[in-house]
Amino acid sequence: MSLKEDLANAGKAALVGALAFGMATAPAHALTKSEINSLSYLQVKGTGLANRCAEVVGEDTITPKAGARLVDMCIEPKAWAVEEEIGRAGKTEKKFVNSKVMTRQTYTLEGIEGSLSNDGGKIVFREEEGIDYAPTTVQLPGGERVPLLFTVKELVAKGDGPAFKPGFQMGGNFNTPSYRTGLFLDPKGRGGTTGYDMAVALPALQSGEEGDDELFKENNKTFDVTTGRIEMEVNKVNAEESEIGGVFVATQLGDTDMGSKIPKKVLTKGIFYAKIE
Amino acid sequence: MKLAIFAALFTAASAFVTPSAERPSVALQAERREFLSALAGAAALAAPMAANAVRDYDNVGYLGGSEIVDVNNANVRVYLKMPGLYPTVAGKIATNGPYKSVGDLYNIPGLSGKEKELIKKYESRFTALEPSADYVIDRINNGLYR
Repeated sequence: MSLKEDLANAGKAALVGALAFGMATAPAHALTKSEINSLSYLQVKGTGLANRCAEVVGEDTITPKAGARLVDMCIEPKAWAVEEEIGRAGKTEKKFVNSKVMTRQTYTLEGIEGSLSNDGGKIVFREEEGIDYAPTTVQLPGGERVPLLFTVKELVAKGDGPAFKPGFQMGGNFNTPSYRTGLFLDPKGRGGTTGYDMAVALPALQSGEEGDDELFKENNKTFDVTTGRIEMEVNKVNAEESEIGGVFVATQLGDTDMGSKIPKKVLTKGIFYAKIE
Repeated sequence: MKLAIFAALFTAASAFVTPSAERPSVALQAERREFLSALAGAAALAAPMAANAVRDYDNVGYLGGSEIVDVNNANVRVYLKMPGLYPTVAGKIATNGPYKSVGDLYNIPGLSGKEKELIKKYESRFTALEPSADYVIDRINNGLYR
């Protein structure tokens, strides 16, 4: 099933669900950006507030001018589900199983900025920079942990209209780089751009010039870049502060352990915030 | 290259399986000297044959260790060796996307005349090879601070 189909199936209903979910479990002190900006560092430190996106109040419409940019974009996931094969009454089917997040207060993307352009009457957002990746680990009900690099790197999101207003949707693909980068060494000292290229701690396995071919998948570290998809819907627009806020649903693949295991598909739902400049 | 040395090491080591505890240490020393010389010989022989293993990155020489630098993959600290480039021009080279050729460097948005001159000064030391994802992601900070 392609990512787009998954998203379409899970997305439309889920967007409404995520909104309800978000509203139901929002902490009593969901603050607006101007309130957050008025706090000092010591007031924010230790509260977990830095991991929350600001909320937006208002239902206006903003039409971005030429050369506008989306800045201070914050993407906060609130629910994670991992696709698993569930065996029930003899037949197996793929379902998204709700999982709980193991990463503490550092799984939110923040400070993302990018350019806005008008492509044939529709807004296109191209993500450029910011803290656009967050390594996260979620735990399945059975206890298995699934690491993933929650990201929106190089996102190109196409909207369905020329202005931001409640009900505006935009979505697009992004790149998910490898969870581990080149310098990471595994417990046997093997790595992508550094480290050994064979299991030197297992001398009995070495045979021939290329060493232990049985362990080739673990020895040959590949930097896997996969594609993910995100769909965002704007719920609140504040024209005075030039802010938008809404919900998103995203699918991406989890960790491939540098090529040695099959990645699991992870579905993320949450809220986002952005400022137009 | 490293692959060949390890291969030689292990094929040589297989001949000396688990020396028993009673063996005098002098004999062990002699064995070690023998097998190190065998290793040296084998390494010298094996070196020319160890090219292009699947696990090696061919353009590793252009990541900053030699005269020619690959602008698509090299880390920004490589430009420390070229006086005048670091940090401004080097930062612009490293943050901007893959370059199809060295001439593409002049198309970076926001380059001033002086910066273009600096790039021109070192143009002969640059090359634009195929960007490899695991090096491109580490162009700004690859975790190695020297």
